[in-house]
Amino acid sequence: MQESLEPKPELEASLPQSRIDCTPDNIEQGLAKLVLSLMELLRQLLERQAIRRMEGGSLTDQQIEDMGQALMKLEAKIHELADHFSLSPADLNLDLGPIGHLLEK
Amino acid sequence: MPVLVYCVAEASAPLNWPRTGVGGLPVYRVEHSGLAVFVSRDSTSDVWTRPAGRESVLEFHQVLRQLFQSVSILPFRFPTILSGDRELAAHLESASQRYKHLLEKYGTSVQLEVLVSALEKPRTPRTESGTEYLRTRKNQRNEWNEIVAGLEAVAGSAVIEWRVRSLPKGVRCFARLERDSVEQFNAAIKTWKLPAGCVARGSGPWPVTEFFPLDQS
Repeated sequence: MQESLEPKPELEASLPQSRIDCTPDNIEQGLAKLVLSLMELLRQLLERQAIRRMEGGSLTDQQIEDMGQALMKLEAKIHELADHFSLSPADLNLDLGPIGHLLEK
Repeated sequence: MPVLVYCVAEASAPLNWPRTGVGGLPVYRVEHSGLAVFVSRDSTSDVWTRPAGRESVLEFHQVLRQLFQSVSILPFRFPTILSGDRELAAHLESASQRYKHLLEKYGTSVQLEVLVSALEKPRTPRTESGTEYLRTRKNQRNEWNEIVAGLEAVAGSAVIEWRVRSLPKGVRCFARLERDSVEQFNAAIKTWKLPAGCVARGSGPWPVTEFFPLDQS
């Protein structure tokens, strides 16, 4: 273990997160953050499901290849769009209040 | 008058609690529906809703931490603000059974967290092949599963149950154990051989928030 087990409040997780900013100056970035966060969530879910199905042997080789291609391109596209709107990977997340964040941090 | 809620405890909770909370405001103990609730009041809620203040969060955690040292609590997320005592009473009226159930079920438990992360960012598969991309992802996931299994084996019987969350760069493992098993857990975890290329950070004990069932209402 790098550090001992001592109480250490997770401040970042507890701080009120900034809301999606939809002022006239940056409405594009605010909306891009919302849409790309949802896309990233879906991508992660699809990837897990694809791996599960691959492990379960219910896919043909061609289906695995097609699914992998689609997920690979989707990931690249999300990163590309995030860059375009000056969003970092950490920005692609939403604070859902009492139930935490959309994606694990 | 707006009310900031810190946490709920059984009505038998000790009468000794931190008297100062967020923004230096007094912390009150309110009894309702057989529960003790710890709150601060202010004529406006500005002090709690100002832009994310590290200091406010620390003050909030400090109240929780002091209470949790001696009694089981159900912490609220910061900042949970109700419009006044009437809303607080109404909330407790409707949620008291659930809170009592949770306090009874998890009253002697605490939560410890172990965060294991890779020193380097996980590699994005560089390949033209979709199959290779998925296989690489699968292998990365399996590597983390093995690390978690190793941790669980080392901790052994001290832990009642585990929750594991995948992160982009690692895993967060939450262990629920009895309050008096913390020493045993800490001693066991020190013998854990951390895989190369990883770092681990432990924290706790905390209230067992990770194990509470999600309130469907």
